[in-house]
Amino acid sequence: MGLFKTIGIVGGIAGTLLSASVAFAESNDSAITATTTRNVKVETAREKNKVKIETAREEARTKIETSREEAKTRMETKREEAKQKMETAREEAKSRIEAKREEAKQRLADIRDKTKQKLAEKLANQFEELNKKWTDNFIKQLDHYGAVLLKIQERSDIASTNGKDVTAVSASIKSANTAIDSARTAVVAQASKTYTLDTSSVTTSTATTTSRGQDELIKGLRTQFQSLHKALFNDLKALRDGTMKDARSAVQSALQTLSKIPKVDDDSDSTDDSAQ
Amino acid sequence: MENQPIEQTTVETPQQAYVPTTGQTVEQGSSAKVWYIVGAVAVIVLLALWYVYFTQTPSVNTETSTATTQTTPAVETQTTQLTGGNTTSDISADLNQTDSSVGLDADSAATSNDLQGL
Repeated sequence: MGLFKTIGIVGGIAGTLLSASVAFAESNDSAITATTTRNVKVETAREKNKVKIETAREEARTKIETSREEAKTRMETKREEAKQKMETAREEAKSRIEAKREEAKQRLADIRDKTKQKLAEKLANQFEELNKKWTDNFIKQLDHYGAVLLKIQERSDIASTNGKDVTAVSASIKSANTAIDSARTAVVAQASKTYTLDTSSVTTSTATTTSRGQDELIKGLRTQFQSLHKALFNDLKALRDGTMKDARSAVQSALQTLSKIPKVDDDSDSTDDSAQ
Repeated sequence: MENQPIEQTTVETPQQAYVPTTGQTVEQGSSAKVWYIVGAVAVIVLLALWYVYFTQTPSVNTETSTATTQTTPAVETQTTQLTGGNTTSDISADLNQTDSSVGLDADSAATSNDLQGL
């Protein structure tokens, strides 16, 4: 009897298990079908969303890239123009002062003291060289400001793509570009200036072969050099503290305006936020 | 007369023994049914758990892999945008680079000294 009961129980469990597996197999099929349908729907929606994000991102990227390229080309053109103008101005100045330089060379040859002669010859060339050095330096500085401004423009474009109001930044960038252009023009004008010793005004009451004549010659040359020194450094400092400083301030101002935009350094596109 | 008690005993004894045995069989049968139902329910619950576990796991995996795929371009995009170093702090650092025009005063002083030697 006990054996029959055991067989009955085991048979019952086995039957239940078998029937349950069949029942679950059916329900599994329907559940799998439902899950697959749901997954397909989710996947389709996700794909659509992905395409939408990619398109928006691509458009924004193209816009930024175009803007960047335009600004870069504009900057390169201005740089090249300024370089060309400066070279032309220097060449013109060189031919203009050639005669003057030759005269000065002959006048400096009258100095008997070889040390002072060498120093005077050095000074005669030094002012021209210093002008070249500093005008080149200012142009490089302006190129640097231009590159910084380009970065500001890029960041502004990103902010604009993210839906931020960049009107004030655009105006600041425009002002900065104008300031840089003005400074370039001023630097080119400075490069065209000449600082050559004018020996026609260096006169002596006696022959330079005499000691008194030598003193008068040295004194006259010193005065001339001091005048040149004053003129050159006044011009260069005026440039540094004037248009050059204005250009820097304008770039600084553009950066400050940019920094005032909330979350301006947030690189994620607004399209990402809306999609996720 | 002597046989009567024996017959009575003989007849009564099987009747008394039979009734309790039938009751025990019925009780044991219903107990087995309960255990059968409990076992069946346990099996069904186990199967249900198995079904839930094995059907949900691949779905989770799919979501994870999709999430990874979505994250990768976002990271790439960020990396691409950040390589320029054009955050406001980067730009500020660029602008605050040493201003070489401060050397102008030094050049002026040096030339002035040369002039003193003349």
